[in-house]
Amino acid sequence: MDLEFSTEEAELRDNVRSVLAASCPPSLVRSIFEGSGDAESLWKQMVDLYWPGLAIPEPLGGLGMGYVEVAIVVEELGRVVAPGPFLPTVTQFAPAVRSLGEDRHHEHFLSAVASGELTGSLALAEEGAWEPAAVRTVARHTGDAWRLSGSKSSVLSGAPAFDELVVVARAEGTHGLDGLGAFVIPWASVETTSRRVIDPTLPLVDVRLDDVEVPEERVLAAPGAEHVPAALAVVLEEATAAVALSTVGTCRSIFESTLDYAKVREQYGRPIGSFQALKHRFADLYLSLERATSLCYFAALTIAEDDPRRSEAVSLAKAAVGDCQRLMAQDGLQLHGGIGFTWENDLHFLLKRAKCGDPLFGSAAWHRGRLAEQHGLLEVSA
Amino acid sequence: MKLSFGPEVDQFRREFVSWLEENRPTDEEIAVDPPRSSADIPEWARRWTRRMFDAGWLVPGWPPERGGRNAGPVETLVYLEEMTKARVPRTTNPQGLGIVAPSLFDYGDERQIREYAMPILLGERSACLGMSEPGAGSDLASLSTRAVIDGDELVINGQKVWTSGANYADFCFLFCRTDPNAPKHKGISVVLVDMQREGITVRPLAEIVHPDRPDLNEVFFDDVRVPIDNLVGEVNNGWAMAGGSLAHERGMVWLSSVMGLEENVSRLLGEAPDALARLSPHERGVVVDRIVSSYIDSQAARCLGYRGFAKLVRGGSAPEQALMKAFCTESQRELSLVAAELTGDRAPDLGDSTDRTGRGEGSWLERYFGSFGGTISAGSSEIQRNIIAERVLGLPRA
Amino acid sequence: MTAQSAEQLRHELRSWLASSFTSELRRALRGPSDEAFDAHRQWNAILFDAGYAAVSWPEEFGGREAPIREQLVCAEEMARAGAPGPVNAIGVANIAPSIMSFGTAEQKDRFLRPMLRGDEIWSQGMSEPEAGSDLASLRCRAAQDGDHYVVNGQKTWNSMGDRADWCQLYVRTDPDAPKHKGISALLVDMRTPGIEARPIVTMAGDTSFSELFFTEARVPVSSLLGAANDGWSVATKTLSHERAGVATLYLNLRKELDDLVASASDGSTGARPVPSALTRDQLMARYIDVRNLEFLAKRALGAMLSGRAPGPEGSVIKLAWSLTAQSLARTAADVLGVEALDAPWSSRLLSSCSLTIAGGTTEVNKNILGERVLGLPRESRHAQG
Repeated sequence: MDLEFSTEEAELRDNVRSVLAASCPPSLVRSIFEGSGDAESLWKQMVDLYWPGLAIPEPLGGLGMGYVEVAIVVEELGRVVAPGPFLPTVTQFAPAVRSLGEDRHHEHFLSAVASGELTGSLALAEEGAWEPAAVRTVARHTGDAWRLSGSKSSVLSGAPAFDELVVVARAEGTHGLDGLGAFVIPWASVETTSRRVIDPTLPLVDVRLDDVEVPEERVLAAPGAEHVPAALAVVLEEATAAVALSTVGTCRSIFESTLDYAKVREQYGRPIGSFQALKHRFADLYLSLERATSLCYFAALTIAEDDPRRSEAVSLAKAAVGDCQRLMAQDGLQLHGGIGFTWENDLHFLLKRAKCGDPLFGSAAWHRGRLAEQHGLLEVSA
Repeated sequence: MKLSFGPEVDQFRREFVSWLEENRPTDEEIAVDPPRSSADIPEWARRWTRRMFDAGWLVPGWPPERGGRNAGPVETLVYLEEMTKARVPRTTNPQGLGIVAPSLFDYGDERQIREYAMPILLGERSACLGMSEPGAGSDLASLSTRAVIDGDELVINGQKVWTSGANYADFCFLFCRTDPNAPKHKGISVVLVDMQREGITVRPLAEIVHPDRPDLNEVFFDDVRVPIDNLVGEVNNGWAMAGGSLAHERGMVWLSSVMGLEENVSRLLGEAPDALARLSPHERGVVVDRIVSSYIDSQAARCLGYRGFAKLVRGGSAPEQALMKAFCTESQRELSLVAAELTGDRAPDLGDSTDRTGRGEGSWLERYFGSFGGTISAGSSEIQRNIIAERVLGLPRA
Repeated sequence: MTAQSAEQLRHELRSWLASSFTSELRRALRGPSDEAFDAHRQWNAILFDAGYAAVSWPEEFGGREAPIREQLVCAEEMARAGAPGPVNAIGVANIAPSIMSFGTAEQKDRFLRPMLRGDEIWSQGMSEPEAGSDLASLRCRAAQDGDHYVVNGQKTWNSMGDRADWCQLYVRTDPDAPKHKGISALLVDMRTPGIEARPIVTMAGDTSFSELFFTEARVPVSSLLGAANDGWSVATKTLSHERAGVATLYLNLRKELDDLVASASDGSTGARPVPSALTRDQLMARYIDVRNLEFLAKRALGAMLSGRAPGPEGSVIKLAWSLTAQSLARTAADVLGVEALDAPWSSRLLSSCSLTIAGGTTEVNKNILGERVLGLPRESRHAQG
């Protein structure tokens, strides 16, 4: 396999990076953390550049690119702790509509995403579990409409108000992967509780659905439809890989910042990076970062090419990124010493983003458990 | 080797506990007026510290005229155990009582003791330590804030950073360079500087967990004039005071860290069953193992501390002491991380920092970030390892 | 050379291996005994005669000048069959390329084919008791006397030292020059009087390493490899045709891991413990590590195939490989319990301890990574404390 960027891919990365350098400087991120700013102008800039339609097919008004391109953009967004609705809209909402829904849904919703008119997110997880089998939100069919009741946790927000939400629910009395369906409902029709979180650029809300009525045309996939379990797997793969890629971008920024610091900060008459003990730490950090990055792009590639290894690749990536952020956030702060501990320094935005992104779509340990299961190890437990 | 210190010590403990229960400030008193920095002395704290001084319970190892009762090391340890358990500080200006006052008693003259040290013991004045600078962190001896003699005054120019409590302190125990030509450790002096002096600018430094309640500060000195009488001890002999502390409590500074660690482990064990139920079976196995490791570390920390203490009491040296700072602060960090990961998708949530006593510490993730204050300041983990390697293990210096 | 021809080669090699690498041979090769060594030499000759001993080498020396894609294919097929390569592993990987880069026509003609075929056994004389990580400080002395060098000194950790016919020996020929500039490389006949090999018994119980003692051994000046006092270049600037070595590293490790996962999922037997969540977690962490090696290798190979300059993957791979191999051995012990005390894991476990020491310690590798790849400043020689 060729696991390096092509010329075009490298150009995309460079373009995205320079746009973000201008439109998402640390001062913007700081303004979000300090409660004085918002992501509106950044989102508008992205819309003007057609980023929301990156992976939406051309007939629907998108750029028709693949998942590798999405991965490149997402990693760059993670590097600068970019706020806004890109991540949930492009890597959760749009794939959900695409995989679960039919042509009419694609035409209606995806073209609106491509034109930047519509933002959305995905309400799947409940009680901290992202496996579809754990869904307990219920969909009851009454007359012409469905009615949804239940609670969803840790829905990624990212805009003052989203437009739409894909909700995964199950028919009453069903279990496991049976009876699952998906609906698109207006954000305004659900009760959301914004959580006070340590990283306000990744705003999380809990959602309550209280007998919410959903008309037929907003049913993406009726509960129990045959394609749902496989479609949900695809959606989860793309969403999970995106979080992993974003986090690895954040980790790379932490690494670069810390490495630069060690080259200039002097104590005892020499740069602190000249001490062997610190060199070894940096070598360890570098190993961990490369480990995670390689696996992330392998995952992106298998998704882009619809390779059967994609399911495992995503867990490999997410687990490795989990390990990476654990080490990187810790050593990144420790090796900056006192100045890393100040509010004034931009480092803590990166640290907080690295930690807050990690639990989404499964921890490292959760993904290793999934790998263990796939390798037939879980039946052998005591 | 035995598990308890004996009946006399038990009696001492009981006596203190009952005094404490009768005389301590209430949670309500504290909640109404919590200290805003490590040099802020709210009214209740002023009264409380004075009360302890008068009753000889402020620094038990000192004589009565200094707020003590000539207690021995074991009694002092017991006293600290009970104070930590009760979660009541003896002073809201820890660096004043723990570092500045003892240094003044060792090196200061009568006037300095009367005007600066005694008021600390009485809860009337608070101090900050002027040590670290932007170019002098781990390498403190390379500090460059300059004090030049001009007649009967010293003129001070320079900058300090990470100065805890400077935004509230009455005076600063300032380390400055009085001889730039001498080898770096031999050109440093200590000067007492009233914080109201002209030319001093204090800039609070928000830190990453509680930016709205800064305790750390930058302090700028711009031609600040101070009477030369405020030089503590001999000129250019300041480095000797850089390790200042309550001498007979030196073997016990670990105690509050250990008890803090145990309290956190307890809290974690309490929260764990419900939180574990939300995890997948595989995660559960892994997280349980990490929780248990944290528990083991907290127990080990206690035992290490007591072993070191026992050696000191017997008049020997205690290498355990060198380990304690790194071990306790890193265990605290790891524990907070495990606890944060235990909460799964709830980890990003901010904690409720406004419990009744105003002592809420935030979510586990906030505590994780806060724990770096421990692994970085007062001799970072990296420096601790150098010290362990060189001074305890005798490995050659680079 | 196209992907098609590479797949053809794969086919060819696979079927040749199926018929030539018999289960008899496979059994005979097991373990560290003398019989196993002889079996390895036998196999080596068969491999050479069929043209597969070193496919990347020039044809005149027994190779087939295979480009990277084909090298990779051969490495994959050999690993798949569990077939070992030439008995002179270090010789073929390090000594032969240095002869190809720095040797005279006579030296190339004389040494390369017998080395590749396993007709002559080679050892490399580099490390000394006082010169391990700091190899440049080696002391083994070669003083010129007419048209001979007189060699005195000691080498250690010489693979196959006690069986070697020839040795690539690094000696100090100019003790007055700066240390890197006074070293020469010699190709020494081990039958020369004054040379003694003493086997070292490792904790794995084998004698695959020896110490070598040189006492007034007279070696012709014509045995110089490269120019006099240019030995450090020979050691460090040798270019290899062989590119797929990085792939071989992960292929073998992947095989070991697959074996281990299979054992673990077989469930508990009398001796083997039931895998706990932790063991599973560790095993999956190893799986991720090995897959990571695969991707690091593929990134490096991908760059080479496209003619791009290789990135820092090479430095990272060796370090990652040694750490992963060692961790894998430890995880195996957890998974297999008492069974880990039997072959093949027992010897893997013990010898895995050397992986992070031999051929460049982890600490030195991290220094190299830190300084050359990450650009961290070098530690000054006389640092102030």
